[in-house]
Amino acid sequence: MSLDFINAGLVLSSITTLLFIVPILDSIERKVKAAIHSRIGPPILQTWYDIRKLFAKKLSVIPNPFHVVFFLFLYMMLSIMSITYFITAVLVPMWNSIMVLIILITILQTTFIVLPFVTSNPFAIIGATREVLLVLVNEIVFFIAMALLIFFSGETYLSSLPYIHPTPAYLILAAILFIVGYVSCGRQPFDIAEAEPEIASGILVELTGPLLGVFVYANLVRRALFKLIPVYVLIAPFTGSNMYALITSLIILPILWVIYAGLAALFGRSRVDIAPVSLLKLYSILFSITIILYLVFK
Amino acid sequence: MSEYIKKSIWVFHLNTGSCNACDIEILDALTPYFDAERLGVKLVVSPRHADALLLTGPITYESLPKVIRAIEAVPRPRFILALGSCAVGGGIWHDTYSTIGGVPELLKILKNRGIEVDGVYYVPGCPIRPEALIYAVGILKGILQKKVKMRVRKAIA
Repeated sequence: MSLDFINAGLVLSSITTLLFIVPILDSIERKVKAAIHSRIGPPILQTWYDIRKLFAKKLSVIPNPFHVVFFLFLYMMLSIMSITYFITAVLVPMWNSIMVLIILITILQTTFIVLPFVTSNPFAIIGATREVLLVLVNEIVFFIAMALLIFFSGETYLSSLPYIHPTPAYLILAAILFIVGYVSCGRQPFDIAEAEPEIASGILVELTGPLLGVFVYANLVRRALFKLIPVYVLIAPFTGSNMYALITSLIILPILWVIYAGLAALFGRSRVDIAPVSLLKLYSILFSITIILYLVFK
Repeated sequence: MSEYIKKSIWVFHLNTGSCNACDIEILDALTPYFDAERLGVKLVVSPRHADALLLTGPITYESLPKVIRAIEAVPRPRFILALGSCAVGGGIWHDTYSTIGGVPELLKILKNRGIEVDGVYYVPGCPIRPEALIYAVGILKGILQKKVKMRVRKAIA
């Protein structure tokens, strides 16, 4: 099917708006946290100011610069490409789009893990090792959840999800994707890769100036992607149209961003060392419920 | 100074042998009560990410090599906020055997090594008040004016 003008306009405007508002969503999160503290907080464009400032700083020579710059720009390109592909695949029927999205996210996550390893900094390597452990639990669950999504819905098109009938098993699956999204965003207690006070920002420690700016922006885009996927999966069967589903998801995105920020504040004092194990237990329970519900309501 | 830095000041806390009184006041200034974030200030844990160093203490000889390395790690434009009497001019340690005597002496060493600092802001006090630190950030942002002219005199031997 060829793109008509409305879809093309919607795809372009959605992607452009998303890429612009993602740092603003981070600022809104900081503003909400400030409101909880009864303080004024930073301006609404503060994260944009931070990124712009980082690009104005002098670029320092870092160890292994060729590999670092290569993986960093690959990470940024993949973040933007994944979110672009997701929005396009929602609006335009694309063959096996769910599987292509899984592959894109796998490459994106692998690049994210490899990047700190090539900086050769001991703190970065500690952070990267922790991230590997977390990814082993979280990403595998993401793959299984997406595979079950295809199995339950019988669809490999993202754009066909609005036309399926939501079952209880499907809704539990969407809940699993919400948890996967929360963990992939690197919020407390799953920020063990950065672990700011403990290992001096871990994976970020060698990045400086414009390189840090690229990483911060790419990370925010990745966060937006991992929020959009579960929202779309949950909302789609209730809207009946992929266009409405996408617009509703984009409206819910800032609300979910703030909810995740609130949850992160609640989990601020939880134990980081047992986080992956607790996560595995939680996923096991939810998967068991999903499969039981599927067999019962089959 | 660059307009970009004025709107986003990431600070790194560098203790160079202080008695910790100024350090406690820095922590105080960064709490929600004083809300330094509204001025774009953010505490970072690596000098590579920082724009300004919150330097406390008279800079002992033991800490000097690490201080120089930390300042070198800050990408330019880089600024130093000399906090407390010790950092401003050595304080009661200004002429002792184990300290270099504050930021003015440090700047001479940095100049000899070819390390450039784009601006130094002095915040006197023993310890400094959190309001004084926020005032210094205001001067850095260009929204406030300097109150006094800083002048350090060496003790007469």
